[in-house]
Amino acid sequence: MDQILKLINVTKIFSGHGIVSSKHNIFKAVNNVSFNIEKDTIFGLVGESGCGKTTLARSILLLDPPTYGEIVFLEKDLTKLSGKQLLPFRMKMQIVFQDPHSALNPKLTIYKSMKEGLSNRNYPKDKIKSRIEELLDVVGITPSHMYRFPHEFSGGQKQRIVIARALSMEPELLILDEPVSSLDVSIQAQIINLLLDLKEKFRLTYLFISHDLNLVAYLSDRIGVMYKGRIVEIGDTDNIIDNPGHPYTLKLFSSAPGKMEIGIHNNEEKDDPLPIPPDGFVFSNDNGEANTFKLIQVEDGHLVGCYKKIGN
Amino acid sequence: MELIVKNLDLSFVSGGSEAHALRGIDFSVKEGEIHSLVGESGSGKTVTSTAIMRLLLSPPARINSGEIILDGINTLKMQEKEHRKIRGKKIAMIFQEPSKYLNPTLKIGKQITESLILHLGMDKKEAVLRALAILETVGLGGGKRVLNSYPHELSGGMKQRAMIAIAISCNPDFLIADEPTTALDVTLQLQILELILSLKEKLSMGILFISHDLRVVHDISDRISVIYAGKIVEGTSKNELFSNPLHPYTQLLLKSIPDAEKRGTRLTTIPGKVPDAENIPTGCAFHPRCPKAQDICREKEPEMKEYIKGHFSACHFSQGEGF
Repeated sequence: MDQILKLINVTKIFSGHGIVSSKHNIFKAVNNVSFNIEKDTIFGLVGESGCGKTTLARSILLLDPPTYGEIVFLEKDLTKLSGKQLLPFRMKMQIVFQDPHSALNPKLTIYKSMKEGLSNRNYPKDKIKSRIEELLDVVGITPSHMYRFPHEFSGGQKQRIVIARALSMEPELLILDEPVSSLDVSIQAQIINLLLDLKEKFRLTYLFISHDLNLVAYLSDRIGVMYKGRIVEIGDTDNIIDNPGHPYTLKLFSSAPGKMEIGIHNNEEKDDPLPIPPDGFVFSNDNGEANTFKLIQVEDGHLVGCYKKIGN
Repeated sequence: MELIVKNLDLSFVSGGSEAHALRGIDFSVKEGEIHSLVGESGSGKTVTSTAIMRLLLSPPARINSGEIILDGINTLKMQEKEHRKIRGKKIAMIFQEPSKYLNPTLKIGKQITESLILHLGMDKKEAVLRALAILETVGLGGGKRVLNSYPHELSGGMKQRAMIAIAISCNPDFLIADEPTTALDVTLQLQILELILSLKEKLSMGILFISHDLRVVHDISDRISVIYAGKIVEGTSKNELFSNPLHPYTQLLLKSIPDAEKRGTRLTTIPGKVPDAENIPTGCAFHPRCPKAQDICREKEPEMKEYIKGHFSACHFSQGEGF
């Protein structure tokens, strides 16, 4: 299958010094992250706040270009392109943020908010209005409401509008950064179903970022678990759920509320034993010697991060 | 000892408009029990808890009818001065965002000892010793350092623990926990839930746990009440609710939770959204969103009935073994 996005050793370093101290600090927010996303699939990225999920998303979009590493999107390394050359790729890659309230300009009507993008990509002027109507209809917003302002809509409706605006660029990859976290339970399900419908309809690929393991397990074809800037485990959803290898993945799973419903770790009669790290390596949460970290394949397409044992 | 809320009816009145936030809430929390109030935002969860604590500004809040009975006494009849004596001592509350409710200009130690000195009449030295013991209970070992810290010097999880420490400092009989883990990461969430469970067991506190997250509620509750548009629509024990939900709203809520087993299928959704408190539908408030709605639902408000022993539901079409 086609790989739509390929990350190779993407690293983002923030550096600087404090107001008082002159000591130079370096912080690797994203540390050597490599993975591929296949076309027409959903890749779920899970991790807790501060693990670098959003920084990675911003790096992929080149909003915060990575310090080094390659971002190969539609077979082009984006990091090597100039701003102008980037433009067509930027359209093909859109993002939906967590908070729809701050993603829409409160002073612009929905029509104006959506028109901006379409005009910028030289969409025929006489067709803009009908295109906006069409897009709003697709996401379940009454098209005649397009002259309203964001505050006249509920959170769920705003998120639908944000999704419609992202779709107006006819993207191939949609980065969804916690798109339902700020919404109510019953509204969450509505938006999730909408996203699944849109994916089918427009043959989209999703990078779905969330801290909600149940949600990611429900949606994704593949899952990457992120911890302290690193991908510590990656694999097909079934493999990750049935056979998690990294202690952090285990910890995330056992912390997820409502274990009854997913029944992962209460399940005693598991066929597969936990993966075993190769000789001399250990699956560990600690930051061992930084340069000895590597991802090891434990089964087909399922990689677990481990450190080289020191000493014995 | 029991905390009983009886037929609590409350409106917010401002200008000419009236928002009917609570429309007859009924539930009780026993000693050593966690009773959860679960519902979506705008359903009246927080109004209920702040009404119990008497933290609502009046006006605009207006209590139309009902009783809040704590230890046999209707607290709604109390003077503010009397109520102040039980707030913090007999019943305490923790909130979703600890950083909003901790005083940023006072050290944690000061904030804990304050109520010890006020309610229990301890002297300062005694209070500090007691504060150290409480910090130990909530898992903030090395309490001396925490006592001398300002809130901004603590992490999110530590702040929530500190707020719990303040709440339980006077050994209250009841604790209201209003979405205490919503702002926390999953691994921290588990730690705080475990702490709340241990408070129930060690101090046999009665806890009113408020949340929108059915999965969290599942992990922590003994009994659950589901609230919709200012009214309890279903109430029963945890296991009964999850295995045999009677009200269509509860059934749909449970079905709409994503998990790995539902992969490849579409989630069940509830069309529409929670009604505005200024504009509650006639009859059963849930009828515009309910797939089972009939004419009777539009006209007549269903009563809360006990369909199975200990299992109440307010729906014309709920069925149980009957009484």
